[in-house]
Amino acid sequence: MGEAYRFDKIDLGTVQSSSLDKTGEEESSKKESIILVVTRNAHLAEPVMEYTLNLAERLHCRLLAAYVDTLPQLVDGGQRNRKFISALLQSAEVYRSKAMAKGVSFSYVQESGRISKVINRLCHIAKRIEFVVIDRGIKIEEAVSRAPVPVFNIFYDTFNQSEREPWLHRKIFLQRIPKR
Amino acid sequence: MTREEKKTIVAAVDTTDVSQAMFKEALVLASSLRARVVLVSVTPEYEGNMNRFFLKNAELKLKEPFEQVLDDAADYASSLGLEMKTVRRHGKPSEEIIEVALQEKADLILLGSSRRLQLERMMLGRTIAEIIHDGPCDVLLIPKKSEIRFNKVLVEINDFPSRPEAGMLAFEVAKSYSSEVHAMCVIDIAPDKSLRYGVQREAEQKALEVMKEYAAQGEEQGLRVITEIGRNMPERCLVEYAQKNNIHLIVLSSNEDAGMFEMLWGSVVERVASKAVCPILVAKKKKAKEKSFLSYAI
Repeated sequence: MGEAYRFDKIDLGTVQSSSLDKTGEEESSKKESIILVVTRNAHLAEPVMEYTLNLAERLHCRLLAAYVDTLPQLVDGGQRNRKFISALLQSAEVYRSKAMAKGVSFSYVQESGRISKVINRLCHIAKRIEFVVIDRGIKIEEAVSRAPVPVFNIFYDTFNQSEREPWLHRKIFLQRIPKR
Repeated sequence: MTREEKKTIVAAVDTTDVSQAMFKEALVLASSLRARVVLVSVTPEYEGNMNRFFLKNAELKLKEPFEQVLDDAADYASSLGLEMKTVRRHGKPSEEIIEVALQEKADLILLGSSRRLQLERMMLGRTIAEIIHDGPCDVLLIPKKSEIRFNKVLVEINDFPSRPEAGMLAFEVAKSYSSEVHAMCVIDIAPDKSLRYGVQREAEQKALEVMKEYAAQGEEQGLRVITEIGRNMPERCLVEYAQKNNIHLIVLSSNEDAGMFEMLWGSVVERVASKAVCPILVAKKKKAKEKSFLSYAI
């Protein structure tokens, strides 16, 4: 029974792809492999951005960035959510401009919920995700737990990064000041 | 299979978190079935007068969030490289959703279901019940924070030989996704009847026969069926069993001829949906040649 089902599925795929009236370019863009970049911070770390861009350029892949709000139910009148959205728009714009310069196609999605659930869902929706690259702040165990594709994390020197992103230190410093 | 024969999933969204999560699950399901998604958002009719609150364009303000939801959903789908049709409607939600499902020749309607008390359901309307009752196809209800998985399927087989829709649909799901089938027969005897001699034993015997028949049909199709008898209210038995055994999908058949009791207290589907944490698939009665949304056969 299982084998018959598998045959149906493969047969269906081939018939379907041939029946669609698409140009060659559209077809190739649909079939392009995807690298999924996942971050729980609204600002994606620059080393991760650089590394994934180089990788996508070398492997001729498309980049899909997922900005995941892991605290969507936080009771703060939507303040965190608004800040998260404005920050992710900035980050995505930077990422997009860098990708355009390298000739890599880029798109992003805003997600909320658990990292493992988001990775699992995206891998099922966008069928051509080859592997996942996670940003700092995400536990690799959590990302791997339900991912159907390989997951990688990138180690980088945080001291060098703080030189490139001076706002990072300032932000942490400001957060530590107790409110009066 | 040609493009015309592609399955169609109609997903109804509103401004709640539940329906937005459901929309993403609709994309997952559509991706696995290679189906097309039609997203419909219905702005409810407003019959009041907001002029007294100095709000002149009340209808427009009411419409805005519903249109925003559709735009956001379309953006999300396009960023993942998916095509999706969006439909904006205005009127009574259940009627409009059914109309869209008929127009699009939908094979499945997806709805988000939130946990509501019976009183809330009575006050806020029974959209889900109306769609299940009058809809042209099977309905999948997705509660908040749940996801579509078909590894373990629980089916209620109380009326199995006479109304086989739910049982057969569970078999189809199991064959397509190699799922484990759990079948439950619920014995719910009214307190006045339960005091009579032999009523309980008779009901149990009948339930055993039903389960035996269902298991035999499963075996014929190469499926192993795990059977269980529930001795309480249907919604309680099904939900407790689903939680205990980590069930991913509950399959129920729709009640076509709802009586006064269902009108007041809600149907079994409504009551299960208000308590369950996993998706609920409601099977409709099908015509002889009609196939379910899962059938890949050309």
